[in-house]
Amino acid sequence: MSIEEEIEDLLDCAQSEERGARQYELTKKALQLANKTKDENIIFEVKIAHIESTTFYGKHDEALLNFVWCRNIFLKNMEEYSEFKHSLLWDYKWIINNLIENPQVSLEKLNEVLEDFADLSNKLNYSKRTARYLKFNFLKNVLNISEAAKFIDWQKIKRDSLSDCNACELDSLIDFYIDTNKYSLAKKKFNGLIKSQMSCISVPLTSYAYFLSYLIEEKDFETAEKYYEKCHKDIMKNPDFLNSQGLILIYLVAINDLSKALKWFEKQFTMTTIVSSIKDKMYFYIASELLFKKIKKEKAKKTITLKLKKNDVLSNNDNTWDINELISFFESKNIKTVASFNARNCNTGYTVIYERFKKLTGV
Amino acid sequence: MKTSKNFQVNLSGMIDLLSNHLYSGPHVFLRELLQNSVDAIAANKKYSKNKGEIKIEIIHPKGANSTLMFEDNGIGLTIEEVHEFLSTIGQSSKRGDLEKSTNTFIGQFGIGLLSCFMVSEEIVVITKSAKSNSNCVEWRGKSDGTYTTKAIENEAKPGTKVFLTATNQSLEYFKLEFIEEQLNYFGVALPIDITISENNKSKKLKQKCAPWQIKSNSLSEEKLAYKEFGELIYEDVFFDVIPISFHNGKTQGALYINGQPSVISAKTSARVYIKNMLINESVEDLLPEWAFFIKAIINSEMLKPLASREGLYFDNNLKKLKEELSLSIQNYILDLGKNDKGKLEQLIRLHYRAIKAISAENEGLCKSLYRYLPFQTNFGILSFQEIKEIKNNQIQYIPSVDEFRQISRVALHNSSTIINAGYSFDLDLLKMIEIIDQEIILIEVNPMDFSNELEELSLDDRDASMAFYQLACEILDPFGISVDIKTFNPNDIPAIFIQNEISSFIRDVELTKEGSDGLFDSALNAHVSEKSEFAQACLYFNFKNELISKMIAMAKNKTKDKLIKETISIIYVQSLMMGFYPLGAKELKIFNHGILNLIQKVFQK
Repeated sequence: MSIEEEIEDLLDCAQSEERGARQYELTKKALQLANKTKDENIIFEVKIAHIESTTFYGKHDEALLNFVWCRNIFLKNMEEYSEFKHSLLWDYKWIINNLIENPQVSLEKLNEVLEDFADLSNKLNYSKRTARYLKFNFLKNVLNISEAAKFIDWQKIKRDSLSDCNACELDSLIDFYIDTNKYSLAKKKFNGLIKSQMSCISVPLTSYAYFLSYLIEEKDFETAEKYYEKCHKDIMKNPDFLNSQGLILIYLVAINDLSKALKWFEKQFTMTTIVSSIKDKMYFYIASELLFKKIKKEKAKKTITLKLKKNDVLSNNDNTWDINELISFFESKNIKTVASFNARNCNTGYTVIYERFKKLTGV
Repeated sequence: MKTSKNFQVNLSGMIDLLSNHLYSGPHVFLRELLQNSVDAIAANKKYSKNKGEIKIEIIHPKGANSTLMFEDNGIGLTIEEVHEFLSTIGQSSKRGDLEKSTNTFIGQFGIGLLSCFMVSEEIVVITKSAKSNSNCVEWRGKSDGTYTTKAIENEAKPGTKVFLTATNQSLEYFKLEFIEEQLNYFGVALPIDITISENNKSKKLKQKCAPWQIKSNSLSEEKLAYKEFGELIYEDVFFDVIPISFHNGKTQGALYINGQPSVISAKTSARVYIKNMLINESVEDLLPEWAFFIKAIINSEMLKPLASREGLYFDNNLKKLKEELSLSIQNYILDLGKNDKGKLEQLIRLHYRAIKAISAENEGLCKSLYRYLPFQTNFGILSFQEIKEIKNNQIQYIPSVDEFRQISRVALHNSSTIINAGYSFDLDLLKMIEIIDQEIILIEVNPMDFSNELEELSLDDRDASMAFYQLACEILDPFGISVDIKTFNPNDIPAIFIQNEISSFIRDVELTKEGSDGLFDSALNAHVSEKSEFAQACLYFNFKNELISKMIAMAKNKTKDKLIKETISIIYVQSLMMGFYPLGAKELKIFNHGILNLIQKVFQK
């Protein structure tokens, strides 16, 4: 079998796999082989596939590295690579969303990148809808809601092949309604989304997790439990859903189901060692901090045993941990990350979120 | 108040739906006619001992009214049966109900004849039942849903003739070559004589007696029959043929092991006949996903076709068959392990990727096979048993091809046998073997760990090489590369470059930035700064190497520092090249500079 056939074989296998570790391993192997060929066309094609598998395995750093390479090549020879224009721009959307989740990337840089996306998509004859939708989501994510409202007109521009799926777009609007204190409208839209059976890989799965904390605030425990049951099994498998895994942990702490919460922490913690998104990691770390604070408060325990898979972040020989040490480990990281997001976003939005979760869980 | 009403059926719409949308194309009308005839002949066995025959005649082959006559000497229909079965859409099992013998037929939907409306505006059927005192009946059906019948007085023998006149768009389906090809395709295994004629010239189709229809006296005879049949069908040569029989002999066939290596992503494919009639030549989900190196030919009386007869209905029989096929493959491999190790080794050599894929997921199979499975090591391809013996059960592996490449040459000379587990399935397989074989200890090696195994210098040698070390640091610090001097084999290697995954990521970032417009530099730097404290990259100079020891001595005497630095630069870049690492602009620059200076010095001398 030639090296090209082997690469094709690996990519075919990867395509038939679900997004996750196995798919990532396969495209990574394909890339190692592609690099050996030194054939720019082959490397380009494999990198495009690898960007997808790295993105959905939470390896945003690798996704970015490969995307930057592909973009360089594409810009230098748009004609030769024109068949990849859609794939490249689609990957670009993921890259932008990933960049927003890293507080070290400044607002100026993010705006510059969004402008670059708008220019490139315009040059390649796509409508302005996706560029404005990305800007809307960016502003929403950096918690600049009043500015985001100015870009909500993306809905009025005709859809094209670069547009997100209907479920994702509606989900983005639902977030926006919550952020603008239109919670009942958000709920109504979400119920509509569920009834219409619109779905994609992440929606409504992650939306269920997103609503959990609001349902607890409303004291609608019944719906919250229903949502938890609907989403937690599928969310736990995918490192790209680490943010939602954190929200589920917060829910379990908030309803005081500490044994389930601890088990969830033990199962999901290794995901934090895979995922490179600082924002996603922060959500899980905040949830972890609140879990141990609640255990300390409720059970008056000083130590705790944890069954953690081997990892580079938390490990000791006897699986026994000083709770205060765990709390201070997570708390110090959370304070630092929240501060860096606030500094980047020029607001105190993440402090508000952090405090809201503390209040919700009663610690 | 509840009211009960019947559905309204648009008859012509229904006919259009069934004839034009149920099937994959108009060509299937021939299969449907063939199937009806086969069923009728099977049903007639009760009334006649005559051999079943099917005759096809093309009338006016070149004219606009190209007509096809499809005739069989089967059971035929009475006038009542014509009304009931030919003219009632959805009437099931026309002859099955009639004979209460569903096992004899596959024509169970009563819609096959409608497929003829894809190629003809009108279907004319002239039929005479084999039952006593039956008259000959003519039935004319039109695609608008209307039909007429009339009795015909003649002394015709029992059987059925179907006449179709081609529409303008369907003339191609009425050509001799096409009809012959289709009948051969679907009916190659039918034990019925089929004759086709045009312009008064007749020819009998060359049918092949399918191996499941032959009574073999021995397994080798049966294998040979299946082998010949498979080679004829697939026009390929196979490594081996495994005859199979399930459902108390009502499902028979063979598994064919490809004679050439197959790609992992290849779809498994089975050619399925139901009661000798081809249903589909590539049923995809019958064989297990991992059996991509195997083909199957199966004839079954137990499987049910879908309404279109182009696929299989998923029921318990199909489920059971899938399980049995999977087991048969595994048992075949296990059996080779016990009785024919030479052949097993050949099979593994040919299909090691597939066999590794199966073994990584199947504990039972892995248990029997793992000793024979080949792995790439720094000593070449070795079986697991060989590695186990060399390593005395301490199995070292590197999970990445790139990392393996970094140290394989040095490891070779340091007598460490290390498995390259970076290929598909190898790591999963090793983990499975670890569960099965309690004796072995699996040790993951990363290149940085391996570097610890390189021999340290004595204190005197350390002191002697300090000046060289400092010069090397001066050159390599700007590249983020640390320096060490150790002793290792082979002597002809002046240095090896070893880095961990994080360092490799950082190198890739630097190279990518070199070719970019800078838009993402700060974002990439953010990732680098987060990781850099964990990056490890080191150039290990070999104290035993002649060139290095000369340079160490020269450095100690503080002579020719410039020459030493240039040589260090060249050795650094050369180690990168030996490890197949892509070179950055800075690295190329120092390499070119160093080489040119050396050449200049040679000429100056």
